[in-house]
Amino acid sequence: MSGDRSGAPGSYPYRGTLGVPPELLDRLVALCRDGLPNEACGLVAGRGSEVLALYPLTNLAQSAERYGLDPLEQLDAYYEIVEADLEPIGVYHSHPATPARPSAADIAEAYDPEAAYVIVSLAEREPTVRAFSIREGGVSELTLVIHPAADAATNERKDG
Amino acid sequence: MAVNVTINGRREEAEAGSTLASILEEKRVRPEVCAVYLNRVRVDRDALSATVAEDGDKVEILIQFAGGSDA
Repeated sequence: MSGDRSGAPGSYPYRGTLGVPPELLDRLVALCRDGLPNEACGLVAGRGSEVLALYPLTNLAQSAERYGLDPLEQLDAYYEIVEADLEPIGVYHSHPATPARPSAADIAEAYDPEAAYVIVSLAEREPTVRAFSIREGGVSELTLVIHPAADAATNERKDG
Repeated sequence: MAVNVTINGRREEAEAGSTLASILEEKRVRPEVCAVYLNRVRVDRDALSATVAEDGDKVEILIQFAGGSDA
């Protein structure tokens, strides 16, 4: 799995770097594997640049090559995030058979310039997780820093 | 003069008199790719320009998330 397993939580500039606890990264990969053969998707939340929770949502596209969040579930998740005193950080989705980089569709349909777009590739035996900012067609990669959670109580939101 | 508005769970300052449309514009989000909720009530796109954010308001901007993987 990609990423540097070092560093301290809570010290990253917003957006340029995402801090992720290893347990949550493992859970992210597991959620994406559970979604096979289709793409899996959901929201990523935390504080600042620290990812502390995942919100798996239904992929309305039900496709191995497309994803679309269910907007009603998305709204419910936003309210859950707010009530948990977290902030939305972005969205994750899987690429079952292609690399962890934004596809043409990912770029064309990236409408949130503030979101982090996390992509999990399951194309190889070892999964790859990368994150990107996509603004007006321009893609810049965010550095994923994997480290123990600063707030372990909030890093598991639900089992499903 | 500014008002405090919570946008997607994040407390932010907006200029007094800011409309939901101007907030979207500032965030560079096109109205046609999102739904906006003000204090948990959906605001029609036609009403975004006429709806002023008041101090203490809670705004959710629900942006469409979709994409896919290249074949």
